[in-house]
Amino acid sequence: MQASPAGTATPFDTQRLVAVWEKHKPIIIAYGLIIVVLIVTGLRHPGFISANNLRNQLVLASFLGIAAAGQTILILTGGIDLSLAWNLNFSAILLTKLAANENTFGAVSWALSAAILSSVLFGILNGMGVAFLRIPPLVMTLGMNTVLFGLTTYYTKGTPQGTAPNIILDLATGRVLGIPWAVVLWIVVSIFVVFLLSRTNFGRDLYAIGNNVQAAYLSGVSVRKRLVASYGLAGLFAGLTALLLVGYSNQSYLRMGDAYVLPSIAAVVVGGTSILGGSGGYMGTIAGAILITLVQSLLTIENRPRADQQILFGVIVLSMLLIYGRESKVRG
Amino acid sequence: MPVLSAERISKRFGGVVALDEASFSCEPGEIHALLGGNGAGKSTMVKILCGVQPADSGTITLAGEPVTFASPRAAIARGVVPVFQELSLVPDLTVAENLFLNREPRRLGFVDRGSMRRETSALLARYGFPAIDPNVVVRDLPLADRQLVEIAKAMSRDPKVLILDEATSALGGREVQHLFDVLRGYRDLGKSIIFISHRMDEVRDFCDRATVFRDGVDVGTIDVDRSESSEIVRMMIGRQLQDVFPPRPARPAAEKPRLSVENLTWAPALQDVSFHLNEGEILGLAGLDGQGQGDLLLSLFGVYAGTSGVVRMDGEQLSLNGPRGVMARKAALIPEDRKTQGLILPLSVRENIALPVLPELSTLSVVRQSVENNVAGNIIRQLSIKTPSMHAVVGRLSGGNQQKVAIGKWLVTKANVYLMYDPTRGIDVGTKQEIYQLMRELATNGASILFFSTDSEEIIGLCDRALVMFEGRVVQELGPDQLDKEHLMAASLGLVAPEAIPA
Repeated sequence: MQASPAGTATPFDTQRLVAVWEKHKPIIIAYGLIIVVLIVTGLRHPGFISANNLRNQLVLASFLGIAAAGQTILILTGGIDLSLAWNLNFSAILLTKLAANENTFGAVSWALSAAILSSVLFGILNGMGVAFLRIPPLVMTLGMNTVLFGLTTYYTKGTPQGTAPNIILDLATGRVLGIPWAVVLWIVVSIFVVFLLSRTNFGRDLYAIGNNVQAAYLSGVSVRKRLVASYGLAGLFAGLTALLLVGYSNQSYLRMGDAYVLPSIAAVVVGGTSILGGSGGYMGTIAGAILITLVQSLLTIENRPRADQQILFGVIVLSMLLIYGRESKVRG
Repeated sequence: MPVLSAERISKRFGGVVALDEASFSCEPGEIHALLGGNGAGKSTMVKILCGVQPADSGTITLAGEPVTFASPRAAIARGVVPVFQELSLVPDLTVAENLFLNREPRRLGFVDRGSMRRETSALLARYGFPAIDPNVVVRDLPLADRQLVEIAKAMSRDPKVLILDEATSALGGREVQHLFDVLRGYRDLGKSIIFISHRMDEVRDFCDRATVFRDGVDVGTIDVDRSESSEIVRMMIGRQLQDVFPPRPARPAAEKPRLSVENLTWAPALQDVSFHLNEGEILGLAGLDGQGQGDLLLSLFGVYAGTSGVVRMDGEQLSLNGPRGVMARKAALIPEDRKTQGLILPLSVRENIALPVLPELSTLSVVRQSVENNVAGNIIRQLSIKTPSMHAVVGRLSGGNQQKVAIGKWLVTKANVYLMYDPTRGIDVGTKQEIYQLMRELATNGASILFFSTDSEEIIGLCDRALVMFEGRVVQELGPDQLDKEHLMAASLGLVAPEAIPA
């Protein structure tokens, strides 16, 4: 989107600017809310807005943001990923176990590839269930989540083993030019996803599918291929999140993905992507991820119980559903 | 005293004036048509009359009393009941459940399904649609029957004023005639009907008076019997209509077949369909509604799995597995319903036009936006699509302009074969003519068009030949000298033996 320079604006362009504001209103509001939360928190806890803490908040947001990248893509197609929790968890466990405390090149690259391949593979399986067997995404991914939970339990016998390889430790906690590597990775992911969704025919097909799968199919969109690829991509982002989380805590543990399922959905809808699919984008999700991370931290330093957080995310997602469900998508 | 009248009603949508102090009134026992092109204001008038939208200014009077309907519900409660073009039935409920939605007959607090079914049967029989089964799920009904159920639902509320907004556009000729008989009986009880249709012959046949709208103003009210069609059309478009259909060029001495279909079967909807479509030809697909014409178009576009038979395009076999493969062979489908199949309403005009050719507009999967803008801009100009910009959401355009986008997106593919399902349904006369012109131009430039229409005038006026379908079979092919109402009607009613098809 580009605005025409002042002075040459025609009524045509004014309309377009209004359209841009209409289209991006939720994103602008989300970024505005980030500033509000920062000010409020800063007044109550001045230490919170130190450069050091803000950098740390960004690292935490990058975990959620990368997990929510997959969620954004799937929600745009009219789908969702509830298997995120254990897909991520299973990858994390594979990684630490296969790396087996060794930092040899062979062991680490084997562990990394296995972790990522696994998450992509289970993503693709989700996609095949949705695209070919026409299982509703909610049911398909919830089922896959349970399968992965079972696999993880079976594989670990209840006790995850191993620690993070050095390179993963560096990725999650190291910095380059003062910027944490995790944030650098998030920026790369962001550029990739935003470009993918807005500029490639893959992205454009996803919007078409999410709005009206029948019309998309009749316009020659390869609906099944696109869906399988989207779910695979969501798996990839679940795997990347697993790497970061393993590095951050220098271990894998059971239920490490649970804290990302609902927040990732909340980040997407807070960022203005319709939970029904077809409209929105990753720019909004970035704001959503930061906002939700800040709110989580705020609740933590206010000594609110975890239950409050859970209630908050539930309410956010449900109220967004309510808003989108009531607003008719388009006037006749 | 008029039963319902609207005085000096104005309505704006942003900068667009939809109605500018427009008035009209409907007498008791009258069938009153509202006429006008797309954007003339008649749909807005209807929406205001039945409480869907508030007027900015002006008065609505019901039986002498000024009223303001805050919602469609309020209008219905006062006896003003609309039937819209957009179907309002719940697809997953049965006919009976839809008719009694929210007012189910109860026994001991539970829904009395037996009496609901019986009452539905009685109701459908009374309104003259006894063939519709109350137990069928609405999703499984053909579009025409759904529309009839919709009308029955409205009539079962015993309205003072029944508003039919394009309610006949999904119906075939026989059903329309039947419906008119029922509605005339209703009028003779002193009830009023406000009727909006793009089919002039229906208005002539059915209506007593008509009010013509143009550019948000009522141009005049006329007695239908005492006015010439050409006069009415002139009032609507403000200029004299020339020939409605473009001239038909002479066929070449040696036809070159483009598409040949042999024994195409998709049981039970299609049975041994065989025909050929020549280069530069508009081949009509006629017959009563729901005789397999739509299934033929969809199966040729590769949508149906499990078809049998041989289809050849330019001499080479065409495999019918999915739209993509068929599109690659340069065929296009303009589907039945532009709102759910033809277009993606929430996306922009540009995005809709580009969708079928996105891979061609892309380098390494990245869409070249300047090329895309050019393509969309060209189509908007070529078809004179009225849109604030190429970035406007398609769902906000008028019906005729939406249909132009639904057609325009396929022009970009430079298809050789166009499969068209009733492309002029529910759009105004002016746009229809533009579409006829466009179709003839496409054919003159070598494209072949298989054209299904529910309007026999279109088949007769526009096509080079026509196939008539009946119960899933092609029962007759009509050459240029047989293209008239008598032949069409006889064949449509299945009065011709299948053996009569020339080999």
